[in-house]
Amino acid sequence: MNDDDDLLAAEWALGLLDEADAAAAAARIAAEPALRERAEWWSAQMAGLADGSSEAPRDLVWSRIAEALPQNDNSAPLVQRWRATALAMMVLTVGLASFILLRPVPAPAPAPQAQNILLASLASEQGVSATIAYDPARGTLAIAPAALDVGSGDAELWIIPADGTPRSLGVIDARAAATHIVAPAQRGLIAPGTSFAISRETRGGSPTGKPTGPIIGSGKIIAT
Amino acid sequence: MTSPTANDERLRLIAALQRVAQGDRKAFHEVYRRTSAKLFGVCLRIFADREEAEDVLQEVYVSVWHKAGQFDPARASPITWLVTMARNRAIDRLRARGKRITTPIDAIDEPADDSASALDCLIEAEGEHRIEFCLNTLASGDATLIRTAFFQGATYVELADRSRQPLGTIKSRIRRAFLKLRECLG
Repeated sequence: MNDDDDLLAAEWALGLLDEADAAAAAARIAAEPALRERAEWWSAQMAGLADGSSEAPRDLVWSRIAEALPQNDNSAPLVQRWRATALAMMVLTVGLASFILLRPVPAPAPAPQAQNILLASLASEQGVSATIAYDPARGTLAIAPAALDVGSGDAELWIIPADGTPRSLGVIDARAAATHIVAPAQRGLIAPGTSFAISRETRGGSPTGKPTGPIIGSGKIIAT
Repeated sequence: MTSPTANDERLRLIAALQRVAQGDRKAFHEVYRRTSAKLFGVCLRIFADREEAEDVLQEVYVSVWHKAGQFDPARASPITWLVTMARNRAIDRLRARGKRITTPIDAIDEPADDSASALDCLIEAEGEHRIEFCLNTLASGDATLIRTAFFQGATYVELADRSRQPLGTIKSRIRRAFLKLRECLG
């Protein structure tokens, strides 16, 4: 391996390249096993930077993670994929059920604003592409993909609030149902009447902060 | 190069991740117990706010649950895979908030401290702390650039902006630093 190629592998592993160069590097890494091996070597070395700053998270983090997993103990994630539609319904039901269970006992005074689950069915010209349920009480999105064709790229979820400017909610799993936590600062953007959209992006998501690929699903958010 | 304990730990994690891919919750808890402190450390380096770092950590493990089937022990160690996932998720979130870090970087181009020779590297940099040790043999400005790229997802262009140096200078400094690191890392 010449130095230039090895340095390219290092630059790619550390994420130094701009969008176009990173895409070109990724294509070569995918096609050239020797380069891929070097990129993996550099990634492994860089991951070592995480050593020495270990700190145990609070116990409640584990409880929240366990709660965010799909509630069916007997099915493996791999097995679930072939019945994504059934799972979509289940994720929504579970989300709704845990929402109801976790609701505080109603206070005697009327609650100022009931926080209902918000739903959106996202579609493209090919039909339904995903179903999303947002739980404002917990700030979680339950996303159940139905048909998201991302090719070799990733699916990125966007919220399009009243001002019409899409804000990224991050890369989502295009194949399996998953729960995402929305950053507190962005929770206010998700409201009935606004829309979710999913775009197809290069691996790792849009490098520009704006959607760059085709929209593979969009839908209005409705209150339940 | 890898100590027996580290190797044992690695094998346990591989086995646990493979069980997670089959939907084994106990194995998932084991992965969490063994790795959450390290991954939380990564999240804390990227998000100073503890609650936000905890939110990211939660997202990371939920996606570990869903993506364990994609982990390929032939291509990465389990800890590399997990750390990379945590770093990428945290940086995604940083970008999603539209809050790119723009604080200036103090990356003065000063000569490296030559007192640590490549031989010292071989003797002292055993296992996990090797990259830290090797970074410390670089000029401190170069090490800062590499740490900033890793922990803040900064690209060449952003590093040049933030350190107020020409893009070409930043590129050649980092590329030179990579070659030194490669020699030290072995």
